[in-house]
Amino acid sequence: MTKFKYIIIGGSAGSFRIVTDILDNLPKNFPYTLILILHRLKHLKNGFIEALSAKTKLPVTEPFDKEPILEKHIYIAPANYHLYIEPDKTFALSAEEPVNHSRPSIDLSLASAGFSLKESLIGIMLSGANKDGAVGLKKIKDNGGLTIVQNPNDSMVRTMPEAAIQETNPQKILTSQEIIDFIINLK
Amino acid sequence: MSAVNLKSSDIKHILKEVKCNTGIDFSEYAFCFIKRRTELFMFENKIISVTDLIYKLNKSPVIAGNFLDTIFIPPSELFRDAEVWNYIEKDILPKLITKKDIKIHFAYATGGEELYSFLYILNNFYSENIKICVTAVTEKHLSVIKKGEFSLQHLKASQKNIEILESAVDSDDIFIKNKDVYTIKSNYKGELIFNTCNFFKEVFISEFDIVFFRNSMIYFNNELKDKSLKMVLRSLKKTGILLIGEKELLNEESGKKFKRINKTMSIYKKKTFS
Repeated sequence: MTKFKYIIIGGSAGSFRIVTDILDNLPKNFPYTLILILHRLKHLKNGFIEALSAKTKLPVTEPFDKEPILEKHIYIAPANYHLYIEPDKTFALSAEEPVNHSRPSIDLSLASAGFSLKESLIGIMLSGANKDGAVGLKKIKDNGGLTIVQNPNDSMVRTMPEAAIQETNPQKILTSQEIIDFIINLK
Repeated sequence: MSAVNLKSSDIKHILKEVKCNTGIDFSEYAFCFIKRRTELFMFENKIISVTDLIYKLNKSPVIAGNFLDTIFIPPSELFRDAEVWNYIEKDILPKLITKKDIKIHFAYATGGEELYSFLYILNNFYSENIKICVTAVTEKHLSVIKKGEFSLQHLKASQKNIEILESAVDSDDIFIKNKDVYTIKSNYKGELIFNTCNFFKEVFISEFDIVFFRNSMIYFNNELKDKSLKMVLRSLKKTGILLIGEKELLNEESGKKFKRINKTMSIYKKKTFS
């Protein structure tokens, strides 16, 4: 059995399609926790969860503050809050100023997840139009986690994966299909 | 983001010094939040070690004050979660306004956003009977709230909320503009009672008809959250209303003493037997 228990994915422009493809391919008995930190419009509160839930039998929810992190569960960072992952394996929210013009900030979530979940964490950065997530991904690697970045040549918008590669030198650079295969074959 | 990477023991050490210097105890704040804000403070002030930070906190009250400013996060927007303000206007205030001696509390305030959003909505009602109390941890916060000043950037961040409000909001009607500073007009300030208090020690008993306590508990750990909810419960009249943040939950004990009055919003009424 793998040491990994948690997968955190950051993405922005051009990442929604691959996220839905990942969810579409997850087996019913997928034993891990998947945490999605996606840039989203703060006023569109309805429809996002529903669109993702339609792709998987696993529960998809926006965590409440101090909610325990469950396995076999998909979480999506709520709009207009930052999402921290605490060492006691709970979520914590914050309404601090936007980071990299974003709330939720991928950097902030990935950095706290790296610190709190250490070697049990896989961090994945997908397509996006700014550099958010690059520093956070490095924190995951620094704390012993596995880091994966979508191949910029395979990304709809290459700025975010390129920044993540430059900052982190990740263990794996994969195409979207290879990322899906990696996740569903994780054992 | 910061290059400093603080350990749990560093945070404990720093918070102990902050408490000695300022009297404010952040030891029961959410860990990752405190860690990030402390690292951010160090990064922005070019402080590269814990020793250096503690030296500066001890040496300079200004730096200690700036550290507090980094930790206390003001509400991010005016009319945050606009649907809540629509509900207050349509469903809460019309019933409340008929009562006598109405008291409203903005608890643990770190900025004026919630207060002035409410006062704007309240302006649509005849409201001679209402006393509004604002409590903050520090005098500095009260002073900022009293000024009622907002930046252009702040207003832009609130613009979408204003568009969703059912009450038409005309910024020129609310604010006096001076360069990029927007100051709330005095007719929206009303008669307000401003206090600093240690929210967790001072007791307000059964005074308030509404307590605004949105997005404060997200910065606390569970122990401090439990304490704060006890204080809020005590401070509300029977059937008084509590507003917490959209993604905040009551704890198990408080959950038994409040009834949620709206399916989609975090608005609760104190049960009569609590």
